[in-house]
Amino acid sequence: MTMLEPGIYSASASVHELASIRAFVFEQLTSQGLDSNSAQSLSLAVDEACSNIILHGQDLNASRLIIHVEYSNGLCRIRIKDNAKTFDPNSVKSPDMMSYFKNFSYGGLGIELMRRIVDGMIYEQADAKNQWNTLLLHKYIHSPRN
Amino acid sequence: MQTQQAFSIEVHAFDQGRILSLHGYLDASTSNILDQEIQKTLADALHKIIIDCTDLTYISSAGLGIFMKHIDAIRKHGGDLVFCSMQKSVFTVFDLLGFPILYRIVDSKESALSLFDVGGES
Repeated sequence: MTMLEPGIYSASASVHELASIRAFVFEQLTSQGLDSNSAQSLSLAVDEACSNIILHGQDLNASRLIIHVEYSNGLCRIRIKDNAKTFDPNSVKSPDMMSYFKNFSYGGLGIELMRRIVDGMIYEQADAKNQWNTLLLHKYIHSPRN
Repeated sequence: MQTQQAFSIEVHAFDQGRILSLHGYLDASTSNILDQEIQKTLADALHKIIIDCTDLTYISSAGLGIFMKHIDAIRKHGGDLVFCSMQKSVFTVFDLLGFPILYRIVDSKESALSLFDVGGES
């Protein structure tokens, strides 16, 4: 994993990078003034987004993730760029948790966790001009520093 | 926050069951270790399982998925998964998706053992 410039990290698309990605997101958010509980939840949301790209993106040939973290004026914006094939997490329907439990289902909860943590997810797919898909997670938090 | 110790499991036996004490973080890179340990426990025909979360510092949906993968078979054999001593940040993740409806989560190992009508470890 490499820090390209303050607030931006580049990592290979491997599950072994997840702990470093979480640590990076947490450090960036807390150093920009976010409280540690919120920073922890957002690190989880980023973990889920990246895990999704890495695992479900195995067929999508992701090789690189670039993460950009920003918190100012009560708005947290996290951009995750990947060079995998297109996959918009917004296309996945929310599960009905009661029937999920009743049927002892498993898997597929990562995107639901992201949805419950952030206020919005915007996905922009790569095109001829831009080789990177971008997932923007945003959350409004007026956070007293811990 | 520094990169934490990855993940390991300490295993202790009790009458007809096992306590799996989890250490470190449970994410998509480590959840297979837990999967294998639960499979080993079930292969030994032990279906009363206590998941001691005292030193579990983090969980993502990859970790939650492993418990969901096995809970049906465990309960069909008359057993259960009981969680104890969960740190607040880990409980928050369980709670976010409503898992406390499905699982029994208690304060201590002793309370977990008493749910299985067992007094202590062997």
